[in-house]
Amino acid sequence: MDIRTRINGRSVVLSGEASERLRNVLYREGYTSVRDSDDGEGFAGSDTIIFNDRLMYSNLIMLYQAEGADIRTPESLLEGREINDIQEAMIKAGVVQSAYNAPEAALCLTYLLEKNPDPTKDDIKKALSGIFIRDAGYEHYYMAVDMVKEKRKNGKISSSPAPSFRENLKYVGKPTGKIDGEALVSGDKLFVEDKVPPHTCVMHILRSPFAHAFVNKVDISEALKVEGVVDIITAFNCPDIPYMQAGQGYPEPSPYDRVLINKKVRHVGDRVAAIVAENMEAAEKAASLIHVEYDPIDPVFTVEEAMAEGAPLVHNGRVVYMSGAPDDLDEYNKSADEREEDVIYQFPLHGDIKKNIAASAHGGIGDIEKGFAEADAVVDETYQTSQVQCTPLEPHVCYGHIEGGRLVLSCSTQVPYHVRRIVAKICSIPEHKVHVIKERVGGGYGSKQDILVEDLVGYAVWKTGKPVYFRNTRAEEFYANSTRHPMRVRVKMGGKKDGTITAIYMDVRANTGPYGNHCLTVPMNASSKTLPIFRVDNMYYDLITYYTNIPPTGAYQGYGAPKGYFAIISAMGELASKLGVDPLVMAEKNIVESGYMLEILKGLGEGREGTVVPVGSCGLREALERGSKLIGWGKKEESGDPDWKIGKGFAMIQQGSGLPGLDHSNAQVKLLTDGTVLVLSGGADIGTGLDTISQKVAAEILKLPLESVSVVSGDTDSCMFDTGAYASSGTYFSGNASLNAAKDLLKKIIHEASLQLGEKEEDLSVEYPGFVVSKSGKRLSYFKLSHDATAGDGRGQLVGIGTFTTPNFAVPYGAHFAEVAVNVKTGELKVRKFIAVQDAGTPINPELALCQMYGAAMKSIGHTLYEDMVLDENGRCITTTFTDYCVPMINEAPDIFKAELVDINDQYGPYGAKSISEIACNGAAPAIAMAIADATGVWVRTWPITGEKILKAMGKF
Amino acid sequence: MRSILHPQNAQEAVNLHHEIENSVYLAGGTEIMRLGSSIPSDVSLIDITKLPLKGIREDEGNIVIGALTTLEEIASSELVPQFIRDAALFDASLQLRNAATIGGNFALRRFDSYLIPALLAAEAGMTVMCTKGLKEKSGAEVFEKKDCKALFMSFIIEKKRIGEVKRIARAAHAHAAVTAAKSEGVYAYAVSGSGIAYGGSDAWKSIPFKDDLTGSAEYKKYLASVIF
Repeated sequence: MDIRTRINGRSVVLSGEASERLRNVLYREGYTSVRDSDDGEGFAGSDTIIFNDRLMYSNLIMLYQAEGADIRTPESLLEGREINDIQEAMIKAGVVQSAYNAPEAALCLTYLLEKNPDPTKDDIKKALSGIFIRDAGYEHYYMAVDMVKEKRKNGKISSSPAPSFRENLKYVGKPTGKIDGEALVSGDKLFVEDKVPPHTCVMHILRSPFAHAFVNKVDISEALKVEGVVDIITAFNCPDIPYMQAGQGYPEPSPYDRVLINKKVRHVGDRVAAIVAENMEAAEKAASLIHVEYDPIDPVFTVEEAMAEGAPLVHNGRVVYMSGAPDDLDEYNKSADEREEDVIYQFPLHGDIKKNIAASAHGGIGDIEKGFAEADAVVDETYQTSQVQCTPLEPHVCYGHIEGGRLVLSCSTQVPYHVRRIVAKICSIPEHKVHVIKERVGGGYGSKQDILVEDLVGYAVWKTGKPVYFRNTRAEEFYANSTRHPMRVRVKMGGKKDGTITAIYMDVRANTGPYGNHCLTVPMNASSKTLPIFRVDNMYYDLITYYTNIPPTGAYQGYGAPKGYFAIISAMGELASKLGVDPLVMAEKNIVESGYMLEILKGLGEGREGTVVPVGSCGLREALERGSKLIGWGKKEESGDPDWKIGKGFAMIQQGSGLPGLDHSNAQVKLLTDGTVLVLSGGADIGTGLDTISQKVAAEILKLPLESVSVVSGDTDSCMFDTGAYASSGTYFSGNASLNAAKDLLKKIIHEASLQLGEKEEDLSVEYPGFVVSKSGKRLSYFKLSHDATAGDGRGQLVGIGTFTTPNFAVPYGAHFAEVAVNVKTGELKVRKFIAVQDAGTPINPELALCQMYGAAMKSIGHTLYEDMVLDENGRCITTTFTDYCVPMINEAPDIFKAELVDINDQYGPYGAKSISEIACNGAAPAIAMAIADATGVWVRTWPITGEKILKAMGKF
Repeated sequence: MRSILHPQNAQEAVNLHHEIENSVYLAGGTEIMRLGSSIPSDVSLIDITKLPLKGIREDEGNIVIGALTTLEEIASSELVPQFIRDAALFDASLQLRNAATIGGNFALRRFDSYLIPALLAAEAGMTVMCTKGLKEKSGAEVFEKKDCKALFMSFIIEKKRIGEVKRIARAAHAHAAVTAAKSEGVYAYAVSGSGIAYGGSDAWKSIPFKDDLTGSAEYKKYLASVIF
């Protein structure tokens, strides 16, 4: 049907089926800022429009209902290409990051300010109550509104969204906005879905209803007859090429334990068949006609079930080692089941698949038993974390096509070069035949480090020659995606009455689910990112990771550290309580400081021997001091209501900045003919501002205005190799590569200028804005220099190349403090205050850094108190919507929420910078658990910490 | 393709609902259109959104709320007793409150309903359109008649009614474990996955408590016993 409506002030005719979701029609008609994050759940707000002067979810409106309606989409906020003052303020405040629904947030605030020019915090909260923000938290949205009010009153925004660092620098350490901020907040066509042309084939995946079963037969004969079906890929016609989906540097510390579609399904939702069709109706009809013969096997879901004697084996294929094979491997493989895929280790991870063990490790320093013997008190408790999901607003998505005989993939990925390598391997083609374009990423948080859809789309395109588009449903995001590994962490800790910790033992048992993605490295982080924060002589850890039949696990911001911190800081709090010591005093007595030699690292090398290094720059003590002051540590708060008890807690935290010795980044900086600059960075900006870092360091080194620098990144054809955006590597590795490339270009500019000016190189320098100057007073613009260099008799275009690898660590530290109120009658809980203080070295983009701290802390508050993937007795995930899974929204944000950066300059980071966002996932769980214990006297040792668990621990029922 | 019918008046809507076995009224659409809706996608929709059932007015000491009045309109109205407004705000999303209606929320009879406990505790009256014309009924009577095909026209609440509502959920947008209301000696409880009960302060005791995502049966039973 056709309906007549007004959209953004213009009369428009919309066409479609009467009951079609209005969102889909609007997007199809070119209003592409109106997106979809929840498949019509009515939750995330990416589909928000103003409909007859009310904010509404367009997914919940049928096309026919828009007849005669007045509609405003975020496109209405633009005046030509000019953004409005609210969008400007959002960029300035730092909230425009991955930005999948930033245009909708801007629309909500525009609407609010039209109705109420002077809104209160509660008014803003109400306006954003239907918008799910995962990346930047909500705190700086209040600031953005204040900035708008300021501009409307004074004509400009004078207030700063963040403090500035490094007075001697022009851009680095200054809140300057984000290079792609305007494009993102405008709703430009920047995401994968925006690149899909009409008549592209779709893919639909038939998934396993069983958690564990052999697939004996897949009959696709009837399905192939459905008109519009192009091809169907199954375990019986796909390449028998082992690989794994974790996007880690080669050789990976994860086993190759799968092929594209396996003959054994290992979780509910595992791939059984991929249908490529001209439209979704045909694909779904074909799926219904596929006959699958399963041979179910008993599943195992928990670590305890997996380790039980005689437990069903999740993997029982042949084990292969590419290096370091044990002598008895042939004997070991005699009982392998030929129906199963091989499990290939690139090097030993100390797995034993006959016991469902995917990987294991252990190590330590000192004498644990001696340490416990010296202690005045010992605690020995076990902490359990749950399976939680990254929930990026943009689900996993991929569009592929063939161009010029090459496979081109538009991806939402953190690891474009690993995508290229793995897809090339699956398709049995060389890497030069694959072009991966990292589009803007609508939220990654680790889950897009794994190649979860690109493998299948890439193969389907290469096989069929057809353009193919696939996008996970929100439900698939839960049961066929990467999640946090559930872990059971036992911590035994001993200490003296003066607060000295004498020994720490960690026993980490991790659940990797059906495949071994990150099966060693994520659980390793539970120890490798926690033990090195303690200046304790006796420490030891054991780690075993088990295969099970839960939905897949993988990378999630923070990796294994949030789980390790929950356990180790909770144990420290329990020990302090037992000893009658203030836990803050205990922390201050036992933390590392700059120069302390980290012997513990020797045993924490993630499958290889670790390197012992001293602690580098370290703002940990400053963070603890500042945080304790802001939270009012030591002052007991009273609510005035006997049912509401208030408590405080904290956690000291650390992470890393990439993986020294493993990560590798490259960049080029090209001087264009007009003297402006193009940075080609291998780094994958996933919304965090990495491109802005590349822009700033190039502008800083070359003394150029920011506007003279553009950045292209993550395009495998244009840019050089980078291991990717994970393990907090972006700023340190990719940023340093851009810095080195800019420095290289600077050298070449000076060299070229010396030839053009007839001056010695040592007599030349550069000055703002883009000039070479000599001691003798000559000035040469980059414009002239570059034109002459590229003239018919020139010496060639100037291109700087930078590579960054390092053995050096740049470790970020911090301390998070929480104040909670708990209703001891009903179990209701409110985070009243949350203080996050971090040492990020020099924060290159301070406003973005602060927002990432807020966003990460909110995620962490989410997995601590609310979020939980629940499986039924058959392993089927029953929490496949945002509501059921329970992500935190603006109402869950702490009443007082403060992120601060301590000023520390790092020795190795670009301009002294370290990483920022992952570490901020580590503090909330232990800080909140400690605060709850302070308020109620009970420790809850499992995620999520619900009211029910608190009440039960208190013996209320 | 979905069948959508457009009655010209309330009586026609009721007649259509009786004539078409597999049909529902379409009000705010937040349930019918949402992912995972309890309403099957093949039912016929009787679109009542153009009928004059919106608005809040005062009438002889009562507040009359049209069945198509949205939760946000209720929450924003100074005419409506505060505890009813508070209950409307239990729907934590502005976008949803702008669409969801009091009639729709009542008709669903969800065990984590935002409004039903408040309306039952308030001893709200209702005007409904039946095949035989308009009728005045108590909200409780309509609530109990779960297969009722009448069209809700309006809800009637004493203007000076005083009450209190509470909702215990893991997060504001999450399903509530227990939603409860009390007003002038009348209590009402909605317990997720279990049921709705009203009457005296111990009305919750008649609910067959069951485990679900919001918590165990014993947890919810305990909550119901202490919520007021």
